[in-house]
Amino acid sequence: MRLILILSLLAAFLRPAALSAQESDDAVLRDALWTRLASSKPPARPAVGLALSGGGARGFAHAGVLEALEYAGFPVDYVSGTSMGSVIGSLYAAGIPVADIWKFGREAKDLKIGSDFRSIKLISLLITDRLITPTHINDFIEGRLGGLTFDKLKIPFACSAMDLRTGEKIIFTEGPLPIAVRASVNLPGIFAPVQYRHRYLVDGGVVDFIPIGAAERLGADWVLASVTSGASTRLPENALMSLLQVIDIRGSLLAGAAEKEAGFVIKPEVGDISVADFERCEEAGETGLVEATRRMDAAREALLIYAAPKLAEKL
Amino acid sequence: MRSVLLFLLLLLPAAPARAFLFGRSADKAAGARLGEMRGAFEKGDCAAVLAAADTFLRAKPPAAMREEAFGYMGRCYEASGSTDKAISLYQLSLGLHPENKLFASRLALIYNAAGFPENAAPLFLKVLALKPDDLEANLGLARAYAALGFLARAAEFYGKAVELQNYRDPAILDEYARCLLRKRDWAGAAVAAARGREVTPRSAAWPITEARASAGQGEYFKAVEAMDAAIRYESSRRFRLERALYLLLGGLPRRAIEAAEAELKLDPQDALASQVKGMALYALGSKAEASPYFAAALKGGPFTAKVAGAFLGGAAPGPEEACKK
Repeated sequence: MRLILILSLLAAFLRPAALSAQESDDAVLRDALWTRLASSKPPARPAVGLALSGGGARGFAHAGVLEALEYAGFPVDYVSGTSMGSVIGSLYAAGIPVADIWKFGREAKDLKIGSDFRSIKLISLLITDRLITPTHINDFIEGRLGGLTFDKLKIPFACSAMDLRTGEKIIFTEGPLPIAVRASVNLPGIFAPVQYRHRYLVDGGVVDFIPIGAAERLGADWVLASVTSGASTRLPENALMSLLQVIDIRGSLLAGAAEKEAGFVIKPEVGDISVADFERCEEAGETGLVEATRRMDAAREALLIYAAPKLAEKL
Repeated sequence: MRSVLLFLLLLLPAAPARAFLFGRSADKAAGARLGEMRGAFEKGDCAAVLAAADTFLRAKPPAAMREEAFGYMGRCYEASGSTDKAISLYQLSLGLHPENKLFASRLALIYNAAGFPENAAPLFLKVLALKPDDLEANLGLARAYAALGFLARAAEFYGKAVELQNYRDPAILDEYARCLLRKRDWAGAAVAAARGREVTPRSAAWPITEARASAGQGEYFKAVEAMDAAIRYESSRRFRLERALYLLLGGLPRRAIEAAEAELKLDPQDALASQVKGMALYALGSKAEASPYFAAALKGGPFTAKVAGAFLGGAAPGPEEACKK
């Protein structure tokens, strides 16, 4: 650590002047063009989608990413989410301020969301042969999104789930919002499938960990993906956590392929937080904010490179 | 004899045995060394401070003296470029004297300078828990939070820092204004700029802040006016080209072309000026005429080159390859 510190201090002093000059020119161009892009609406610029991955408690990193996007004035015309990404994404799309979304993370302990996971006893699952209903998660969703339909949202939103009988990816874009979000966040094998429109729905993370296609289907030309990177690095402490981790690893593998479809990817490193660590939501959010801030200039540049010709045409 | 022993036993709780039997002279010697170190430090003679340190520590001084000496030694290590020794000393000293705000503050400043704001922030918070109106710690914490992206918290501590120095330091006011611009707090940035103007009325920093706040709200004509004011104080190429960009974005491509051409006369290879002229021509529909300017802009910085490439139709690497990793 000490050596890294010394090298970092040296690097700061030895930076070539010519490189800094070019970087400053880049910054002038980027910041000026950004003012135009951030204050424009489609079709004067490309429509921007935000896809939020699954990840359980780790998915709360999206709250930090949203805060960084707001600071940057990053336009978000469409939102899509899977699993925890659908919870955060639906709250954001409903117009709930990011500060309030953070508050939910801070209160996660009191909201008893984690207790839905802690109450799971595999033995009783096997003996009774009945899956659990996640009461606290359902209450949370109903409490915040109850009565809302997709068409009433401030930002068009889509979320993914999977039909347990057919393995189909189901993308919700209309109808009542709470049941769609409940389906998207519904862990298979533990929570009872959500029955809706003749389908048996479970967590979309198994088939669509980063719903980039869902954002494109809504109308996005360019999609920024927020992805909770890496499956948990911790050894699972029991059979249930092993099952969750398997689902998580499957999601991560899907993410690798899906990321290539995104215009830009922000990946907060939250691998040491487990899917059910709802007491650590705030920490995940802070990690999301730090990582999104670190990558924000690159994200803005990626969108500007894509959008610049269109922006200039519409001047 | 018995009465003498009893007398010594009565005295023991008042002072450690070592101090009572041998300590006074040792403490006295250490105290003298510490006095020398203090004097040398006040004169800025770090070589003498560090030369005296060895003898001082060999005298096994009491904790309070050692704490003071470590403060002089740490700052002298920093001044002489031995940052690694300073870090070790501050880390050790913080372990021994957790309530000492100097060690926490100095170590946090090193972390901030080396680009480790996540390590600096908790140390500054520790200092502020001991002394909430410590200017250096408020400022250091604001910088750490700004680097990490916690802009709301950064703005709060910048606000305290500028208040503590009674809005007299233009450099801190400028930093504060930049933080508020990043946070898109346009009104706050304008207030910080107004405060700064009271201190240094002829600085370009304040009209630049105003120009960026106006541009951030899409008010490009106001931004151009503010840039004109900034250029009157400091006519730099970059300010002139920033003004040209605002002309273009405000829907005045012909005036942007004039401004870019003025720079290209001074330096025909100017990549940013070429980019501005190319985009202005493109906006006017003269795409073929714009191409050579975009080709010239390919020689600019990485972002300028990629934007130019996008106008040329993929001549430069796209965002996927260029920016993802």
